[in-house]
Amino acid sequence: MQKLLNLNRFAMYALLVIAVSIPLFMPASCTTIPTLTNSNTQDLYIELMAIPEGKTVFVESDWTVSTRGESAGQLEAFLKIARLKNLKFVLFSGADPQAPQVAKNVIEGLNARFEKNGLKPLEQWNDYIDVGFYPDVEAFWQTVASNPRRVFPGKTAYDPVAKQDRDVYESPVLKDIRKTSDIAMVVNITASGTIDIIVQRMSGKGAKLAGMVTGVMAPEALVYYNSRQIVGLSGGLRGVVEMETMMAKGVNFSEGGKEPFVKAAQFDGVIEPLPASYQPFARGMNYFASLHAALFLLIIAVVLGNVGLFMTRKKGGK
Amino acid sequence: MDHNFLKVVVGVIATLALYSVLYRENKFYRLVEHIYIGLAVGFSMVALWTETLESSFWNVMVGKAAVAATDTAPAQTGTPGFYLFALLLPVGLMGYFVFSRKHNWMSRIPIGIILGLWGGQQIQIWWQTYSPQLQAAMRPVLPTATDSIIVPNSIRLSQVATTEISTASTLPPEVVTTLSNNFRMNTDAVAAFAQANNVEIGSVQGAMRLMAGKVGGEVYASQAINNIIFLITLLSVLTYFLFSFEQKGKFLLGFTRLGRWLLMVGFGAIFGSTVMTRFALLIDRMYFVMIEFLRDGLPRVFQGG
Amino acid sequence: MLNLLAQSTLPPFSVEGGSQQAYQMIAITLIAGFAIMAGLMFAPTKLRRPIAVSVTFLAGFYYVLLWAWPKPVELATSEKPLNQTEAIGRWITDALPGVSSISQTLAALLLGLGVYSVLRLHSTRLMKKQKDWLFSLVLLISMFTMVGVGYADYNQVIADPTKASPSGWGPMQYAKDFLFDGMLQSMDAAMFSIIAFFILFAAYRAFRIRSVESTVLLGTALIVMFSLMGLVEYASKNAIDSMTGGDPGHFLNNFALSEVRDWIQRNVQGPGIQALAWGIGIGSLSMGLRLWLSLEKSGGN
Repeated sequence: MQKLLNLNRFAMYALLVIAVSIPLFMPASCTTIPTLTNSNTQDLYIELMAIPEGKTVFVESDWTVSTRGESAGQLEAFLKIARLKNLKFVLFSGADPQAPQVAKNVIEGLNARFEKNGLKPLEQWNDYIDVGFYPDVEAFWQTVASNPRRVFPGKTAYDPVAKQDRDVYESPVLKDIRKTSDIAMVVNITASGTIDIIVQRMSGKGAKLAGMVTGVMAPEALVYYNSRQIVGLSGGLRGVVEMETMMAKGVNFSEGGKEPFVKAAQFDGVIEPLPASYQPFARGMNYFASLHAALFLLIIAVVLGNVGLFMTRKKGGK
Repeated sequence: MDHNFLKVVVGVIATLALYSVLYRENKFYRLVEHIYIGLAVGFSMVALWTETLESSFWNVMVGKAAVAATDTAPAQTGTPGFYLFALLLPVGLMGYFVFSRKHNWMSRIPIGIILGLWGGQQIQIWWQTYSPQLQAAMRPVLPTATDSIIVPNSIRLSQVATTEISTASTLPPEVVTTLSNNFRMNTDAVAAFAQANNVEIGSVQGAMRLMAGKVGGEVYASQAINNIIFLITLLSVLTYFLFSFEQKGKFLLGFTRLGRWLLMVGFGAIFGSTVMTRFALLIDRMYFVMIEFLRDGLPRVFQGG
Repeated sequence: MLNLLAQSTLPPFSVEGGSQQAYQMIAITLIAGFAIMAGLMFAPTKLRRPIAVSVTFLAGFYYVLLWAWPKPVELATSEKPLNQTEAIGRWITDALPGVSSISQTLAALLLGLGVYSVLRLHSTRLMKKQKDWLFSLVLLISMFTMVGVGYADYNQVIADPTKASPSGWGPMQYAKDFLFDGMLQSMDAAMFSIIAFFILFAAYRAFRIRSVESTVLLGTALIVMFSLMGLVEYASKNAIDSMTGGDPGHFLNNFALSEVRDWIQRNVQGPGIQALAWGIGIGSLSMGLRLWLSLEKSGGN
């Protein structure tokens, strides 16, 4: 029994690597896992899909490659919806100077896929504006809440038609933003606690708030969802998989008289699956089987440790 | 070797070097660790100017001259130059006196400004953050409906309500009454019900939603119990954090102990969620090494692709 | 002369943007600023705390005013305020973007402190040939390479915006991408993913049922982890469905894993974390007031 309490550290590390790696080599048909969707992710998807075409969203992207496993999937899900609905967005970060560049790299990667599938790539100036990094993001949101027309003084971006740098407020993305209620939604894709700052300053200002957070931040952010301070929340890798499930299968969408796979009782309408040109919806799903394996391994490790302890205690008691 | 594959190769070497610390700290690890810190600090130096200072400081301070229209571009209005922003440079540099033994008090000026600005915002944001949560926590604890303990699948409709639902859903009143005996059905059951009563599926679904709405307006005993559990959790956890006075008395001590136990539920959930993130990061790295490098990258190089 | 920015509309303490006068005024202000800084170096000891306290108070007072002063109705720029209260309210609101730019600038300059600290530590180690000075050399080389390549890339893209997209990349853009995406980001990801190994081993060694608290913690963690596994949750739902015949109104549905997790989330986990957040909120409020009013014992001494 003592053996159960003293498993080799390196053996466990090796087991973890093997457990997460094997599913990665398996074909997608074996690793596509049917996943139920939570109401918080459903609401996020429904709200995003309900934004009128051409409206502007503020996207605070506060993550770097260190959380790519979760956050890249979140950003990609948003970008696909933005392309589908022709949404404009302002991209910036309040957490890390590397974050804007990381987000731009994701956009570039996705653009290549869009072009391959015959879709229009997301274009700086016309579809989105990158306004950079705001180290005092509290002051940034305070200003947005007061007057979104005066948040980016001196900020310019390259207009590909005029072939020169122009004031970002002249861009199609920001030209119609006069007050906070003109912002269709504020989406925070974050690996840190920046959603608190947004909620603290933007609650009740007329713009809907939403979170796409890492698993670490999800339980805390859920409090904001429960009090309806944010309209929807996608948490961690599971959240990414749920978003992808809804993109692939729609919401309340029934095919061939079958029961809809994603049923949202709180939503009266029907959302159809995204067109095939937006596939694959696999950024999260590619990792999901490996997550199962890793969690299973952890649960076994915890059980073994406790069984070992229990047996040792029992033996000692006798 | 193309640029992208070269990036992958270097990434894999760096990953292996950093993972070597799992065995024990070694020179290979330390070398890559130092490159990592150097690159991160270097990038921050670039980004602080390109992403922040240029627009928030330089462009505001210098302003912009107006530009006349050209054949391809419209005219651009100028912006004034707020020259007083130049004062921020010496003020900001005062922060660097933190390393000076003699003048380190001066570093408190820029830090004080930042802390003051943060502190001043707290009064405003407190109420804005917590008032919706306080409101959401005010849940009914007394049941308003006594016909069932749990949220029922059936509803006893008054004549007025039957007519109302019948008009809204275009179902005959007698079908509405039949449906009210079980208004939670799956798709197959709805289809069978519609066929049996010779009505549209959509009308049945509409009537089901209206009935669910009517039930949703009531508080049933099971919901009241849930709400009581919610409030007990909230209050007991809050009580656990009362440090301003000594907690005495059996009830208060028991209540705070309960708060500690219930708080563990929250921590358990946070643990589960955190584990997901940590594993997701590892899986992402393994995907990079196993798939992007081993499965997709290497064969391409050997095949000369 | 083209002047789309009419002189009469210039706000106080500003000059025509990009003009020679702008640069002259900046130079004068800079000289004055550094003179004040030099003057402060000779400030008597008893004045130091009042200076730091006043600056902190004034900075915080702005946001307190912004919150407490009656908000002016949205006036068009051409409209005049009705009275003094509205005029002050408008001034306070109008000053917000400027205050925001000030705090962004100061925060960015203070972030540079970290950079300076690393630079100072490693250059000292290198100069004095202390232990591991070679690593410090590597650090400094990689740091300056990134700075050089980063700025060169930025300036080239400003001069020729076609270089922003990969199709127009030159050697400097490739170099920057290699350093940033190929090296820095890979290292960042690898560094943070190591925690997964430690968390597995720590859970095995330390996650033991020893008390009521640890049992509750473990129980909830297990439920959450099982429910995060889509397959387990789906299987549990299917098992319940097979018992209820797919009846969505059946009582047994409450025992599906997703429902149990949802119940815990709504009724126990949610309020528990909410109570914790309220406590932190009250702490932040009191800390904010203490900082603003310099009541912290170590502040300004």
